[in-house]
Amino acid sequence: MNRMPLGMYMPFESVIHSIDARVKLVCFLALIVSVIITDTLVGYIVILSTAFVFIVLSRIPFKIALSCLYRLRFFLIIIFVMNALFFTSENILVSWWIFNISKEGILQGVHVVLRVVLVMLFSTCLTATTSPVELTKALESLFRPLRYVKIPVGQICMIISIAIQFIPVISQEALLIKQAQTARGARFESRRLIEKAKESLALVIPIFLSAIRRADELALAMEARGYRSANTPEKRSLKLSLREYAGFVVSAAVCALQIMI
Amino acid sequence: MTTTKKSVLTAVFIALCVVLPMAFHSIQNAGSIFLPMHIPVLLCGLICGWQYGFITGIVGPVLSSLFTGMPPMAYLPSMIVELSVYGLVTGLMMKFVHTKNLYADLYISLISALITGRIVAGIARALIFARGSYSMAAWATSYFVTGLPGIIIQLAIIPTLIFAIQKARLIPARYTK
Amino acid sequence: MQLELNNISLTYAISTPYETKALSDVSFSAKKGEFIAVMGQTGSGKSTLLKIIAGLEKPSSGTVFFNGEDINAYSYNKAKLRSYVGMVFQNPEYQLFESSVYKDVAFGLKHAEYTKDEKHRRVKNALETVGFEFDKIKDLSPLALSGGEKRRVAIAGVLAAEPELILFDEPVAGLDPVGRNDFVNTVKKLNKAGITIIMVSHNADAIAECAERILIFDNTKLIKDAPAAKVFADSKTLKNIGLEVNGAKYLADLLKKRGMCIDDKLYRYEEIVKAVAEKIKNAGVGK
Repeated sequence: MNRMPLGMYMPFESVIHSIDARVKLVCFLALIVSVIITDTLVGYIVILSTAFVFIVLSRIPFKIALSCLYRLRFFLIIIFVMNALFFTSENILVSWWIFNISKEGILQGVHVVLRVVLVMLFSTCLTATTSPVELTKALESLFRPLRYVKIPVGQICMIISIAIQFIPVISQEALLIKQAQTARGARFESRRLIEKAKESLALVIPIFLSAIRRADELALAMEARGYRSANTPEKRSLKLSLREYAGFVVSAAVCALQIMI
Repeated sequence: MTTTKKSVLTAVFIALCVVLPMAFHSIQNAGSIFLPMHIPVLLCGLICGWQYGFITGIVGPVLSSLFTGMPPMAYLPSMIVELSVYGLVTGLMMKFVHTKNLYADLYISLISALITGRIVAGIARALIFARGSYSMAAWATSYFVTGLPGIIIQLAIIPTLIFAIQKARLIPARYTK
Repeated sequence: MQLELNNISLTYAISTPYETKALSDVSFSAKKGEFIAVMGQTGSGKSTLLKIIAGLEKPSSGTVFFNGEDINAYSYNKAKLRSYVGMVFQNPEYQLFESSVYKDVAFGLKHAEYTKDEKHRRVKNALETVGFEFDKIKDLSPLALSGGEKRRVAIAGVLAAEPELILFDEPVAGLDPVGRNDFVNTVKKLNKAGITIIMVSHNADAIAECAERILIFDNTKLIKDAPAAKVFADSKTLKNIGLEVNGAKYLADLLKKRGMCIDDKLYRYEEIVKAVAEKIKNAGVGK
């Protein structure tokens, strides 16, 4: 819990890194939709290769891309098993007690696992090539039309930016508090529920108090400088180059393909 | 409280959604029992209001997944639904329920939020996220039974937290004696 | 030797792009009852040093011996160490959380096997040592106290365990001169009672009044380990690292430049005041 890197962001330079964040978001959404509607073998091959190509283009080391999947391995096994064993259908192969193994169930399990894997691969691609600040700005840009429905997009994105900046600070503070309480003799080893709750208060209360204190100071500083609202839009022109067009085309093509087959 | 203060507080609560699970992760078993991400969301709804609580419930889990990989992105949709309902309901209840007793207000808001949140998330999961998968019975048992200790702990911790924050004069007291 | 550090090094986040060195090959030892101050720029490794002594961080290499035992050995019970070594963090008022001062101070004693009376005695003793009237303060909420009071409660919380060695990290940061003097008096009292004190501070004035020995850190290395008089007599070295001598010594140096020479070994406030007064009296007599 020591020094926190910025999420999954890896500051390399690659083709994907340099594509405008807004374009990346839109493509990402299109690709996620494709993943959900894919259901043929050919379809999966196409979309898996697309993911592969993107990862190579973004220069993310394969080890890292696959490590998130590795972390999820239990989850993947569980959902496969849940589907394989409990799916209700007519073609039951083996039946015992409440478990029903059917061909449909196994296929469904495979579908779900593949979908999760693909979503994770594309998400990794997105988050590793786009810093959280870029992503927030992109979201703000894309959601700007929502202002007309009275949704305060600017304010929400400002909140997100501040939250991102607070994470390392509060994380450090939390570690300090944990060490300070441990140094005073706190122990967090009880098994009994009530005891555990009481012990956790020694961490929870100081962490929250110090975080809220920071919020207080920041809010005061902002108001003292005349800050009023974040809803004035910042217009950023969209520069579309070959890379962006290529991204659009590829995502749209994959999506269309999945709809058709 | 000014809008600025509520906004910055919300930002801090979102940051806490990311930090708390990590802090508890190193303590055995604490993560699944305490459901540490729920606490900042509930507090935000109780202190800042339903709009801010709602936002915290959505952004908190997303940022946490991005930064720490907890919860895994696959669990994200149902978590988002559940937590945003928590933030929403606590905020609404605190707005409309004034029993002159802070404990009563808090417990009513918390219990309604925790129940509503779980029900809505359960429905969402059954209809949208995990359609056709395992039976309702399996879900119902796993969810409510394993979740019960967490509910109890949250009900115990959160009012204490609110009182401490009021005592430290960081938020205005709801009822002045 | 009560405390021995041998070749301690600590590097955070080894073999990641965020690798940072905190301490490089630090060695020193402390006898029971010593008062040691640690000076150095921010980031030079001082806080990390304290955490390693308290057993809160594990060194990347090197050993720490407390009362002859290796505290990082597998068989060593770190929980036991807590009752011997106390640490007061920077801004300790932020650790408070209980509903009453009594409960907060007694917090650390919960897991030790003391009787109720023994706990009561320790809490009362600790609160009185930091200057509170026990009955007036024990039921108040620690969160509603003033900053200075909160800090004293936090220190009492560490004292309740009656440790042999206390580590202080920037104890006077943010205190006004009165608060600082109160702290200096309290900590001198503790040291006189036989407790070893290791204090990290930027505040040369506070250090001059209590420490006998000073460790100077620069850029993760321990560069000087000398008696306080020697350290303050050498203002050049201090300036090179961005530190300064204390106010009284600064005055003495200025007077020396103007022709009034005071014994170089003196650096404490009282001694310098006395020496200057002597000089002035003699000068008057001479005329």
